[in-house]
Amino acid sequence: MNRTIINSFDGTETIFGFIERPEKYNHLFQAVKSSSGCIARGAGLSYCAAGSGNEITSIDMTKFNRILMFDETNGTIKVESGLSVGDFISFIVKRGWYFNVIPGYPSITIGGCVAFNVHGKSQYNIGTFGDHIKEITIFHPDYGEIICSKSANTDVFDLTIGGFGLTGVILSVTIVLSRLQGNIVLRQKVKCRNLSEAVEKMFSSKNEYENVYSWNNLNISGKNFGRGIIYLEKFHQGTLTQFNEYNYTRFNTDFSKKTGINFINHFTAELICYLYYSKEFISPSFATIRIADSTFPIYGKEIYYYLFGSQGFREYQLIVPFTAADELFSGVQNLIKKFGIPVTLGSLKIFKGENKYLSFCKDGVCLAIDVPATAKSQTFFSEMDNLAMRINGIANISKDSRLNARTINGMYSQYGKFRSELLKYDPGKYFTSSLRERIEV
Amino acid sequence: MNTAVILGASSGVGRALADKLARDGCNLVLIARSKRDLEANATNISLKYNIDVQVYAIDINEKYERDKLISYVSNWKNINSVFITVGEMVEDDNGLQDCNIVDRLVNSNFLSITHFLSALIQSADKRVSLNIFLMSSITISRPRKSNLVYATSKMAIDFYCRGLQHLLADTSIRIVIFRLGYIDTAMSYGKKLLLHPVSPGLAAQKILTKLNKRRRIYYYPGYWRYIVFAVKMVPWIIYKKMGF
Repeated sequence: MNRTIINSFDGTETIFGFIERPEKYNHLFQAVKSSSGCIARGAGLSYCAAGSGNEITSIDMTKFNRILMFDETNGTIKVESGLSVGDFISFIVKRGWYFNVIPGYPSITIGGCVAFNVHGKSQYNIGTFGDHIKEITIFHPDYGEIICSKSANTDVFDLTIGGFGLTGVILSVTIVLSRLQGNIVLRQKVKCRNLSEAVEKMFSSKNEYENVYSWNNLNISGKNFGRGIIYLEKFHQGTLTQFNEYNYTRFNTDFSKKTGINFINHFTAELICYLYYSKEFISPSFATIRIADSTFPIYGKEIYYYLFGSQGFREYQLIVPFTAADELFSGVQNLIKKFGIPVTLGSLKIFKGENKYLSFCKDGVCLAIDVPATAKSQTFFSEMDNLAMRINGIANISKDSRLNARTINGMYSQYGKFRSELLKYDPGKYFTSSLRERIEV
Repeated sequence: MNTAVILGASSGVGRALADKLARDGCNLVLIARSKRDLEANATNISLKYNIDVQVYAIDINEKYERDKLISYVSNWKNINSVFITVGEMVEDDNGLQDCNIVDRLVNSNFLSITHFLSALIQSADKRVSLNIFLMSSITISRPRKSNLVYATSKMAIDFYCRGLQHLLADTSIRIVIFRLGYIDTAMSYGKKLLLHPVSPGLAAQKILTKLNKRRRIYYYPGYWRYIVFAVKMVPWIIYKKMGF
């Protein structure tokens, strides 16, 4: 096993660790038992180095990518944690089922979705990934294999969903699916003048559409701050071909170190946003698209991440209560103006749910912002932390390789409880990562 | 419908071959040591491609289990293809290791396969065509200090199969040898290699394109044929200093 360099997906963290890639169960158990500290790793697309750590063994789970059970009548499926969401969706769609809590890139693994309790594009209507899990099997060398669910080993189940892979290696996950409502997706694009208008329109459309999210230009100041497009999507029975086999390539996580040049500055950020808006403005408001294209909107647009070059990028995603949305928008606008940061992406979603441990979920408006990873953006994000805490918001831990224990403690009311429960379960901190060390759990 | 047997189907090229064959609608008999991995593969494949999959969790290094497998072989009907992808490698294989490890390597990579092939060929219906595909290795090109017992046993099985090709030349049984280069499996993962390894899926796809071709020995990736030739041509005075 050679020491290797592992980069976080956002390109801001470089880690010297080890990677083991077992292909059989006995090799997997042996790899975990023989390491002095390890963490499971999926597609390697974690923004915040959750699947690696300095001098830690990352257990690459991508060979554990099989379907172990499928109940076609009731829509229940048991899969290994290394199965990519692309393969997962491809399998279920062909059989008349769907699962709408899926991140936007196909090579992300099911295990990663559990570890971060991810959300999709219709969080308000259907919740987060953990809400649809029936059962999880994890492996911890001190306990062996643990089968946990909402009715058995509930403490481990709750800690594992959104637990950053720190309770053990997730071996398999049983997921409850929903019936596919059509063979294509009908997408409507609605223009919005600013962020507040976007939230209003999204809120009024949420019952009619499956997916509700927006793209917003945050480089415009004044009353048009956040001008953009709202995407409203629902299934439809149409004439397009069924979900095709998804021959996606795996994202090269070392991209930022290879391209070198950072193409993002004020001019290019504004140009990118202007061109994107113009393209969306000109194209028809109604379109029918493939299920795959609706499920994985980022696929095929990888060049976006390459543009940030060797310095990488930073993403800030937060949820604030609906009542604090306007305060958030004006605060963000002031901070962008104050720091003069080029923003390459602004996006809104609406959320509903209860915040449990460190899962990114609560009632409110969710805003995501992408900026180049510069010293200035670090300060900008620190100010964003203060703003979020002031208006009772929470930042997404999975998207930010900078958040520290103090900030998370200030945002998440159950931080202390998560920390103590995790230590009670695994006092030896057998599973650890760069993320765990940073957020001090 | 065709039925294929894969020996060593729990991981690597064997697993990839199972997937590709199942996609083409071929029923499968999967054999490997680990029951859990084998059953996971079988379930995955049968759910995805709706084919019949039989599994035999057998450690062919164990005489009792090998005998059991040989007794199964004589009962198999309608088998068209047999893929032998088993292989075992250990760290620091310089030929001077513990005798038990040497025995195990020779058993896994050579003896057990010869026993299996012998039983298979003797029980085969000579009227029905049977294709046997052996996954050999480019490591046999020239002896070197690393992976010594592994390479020796691979050389032995390669030699044995070439002998069988001669023996069965005028029968309906065809034996094809694939000398594989660097494939991205557990054997090569994390190792510093001269060339980038090829994915097992791609290797399996290429192997299956050769099923109906007439050659007896293939190199995959194809450029290894030239590398092997070049390595054979290196004068000893230089070769002995090479650290690979």
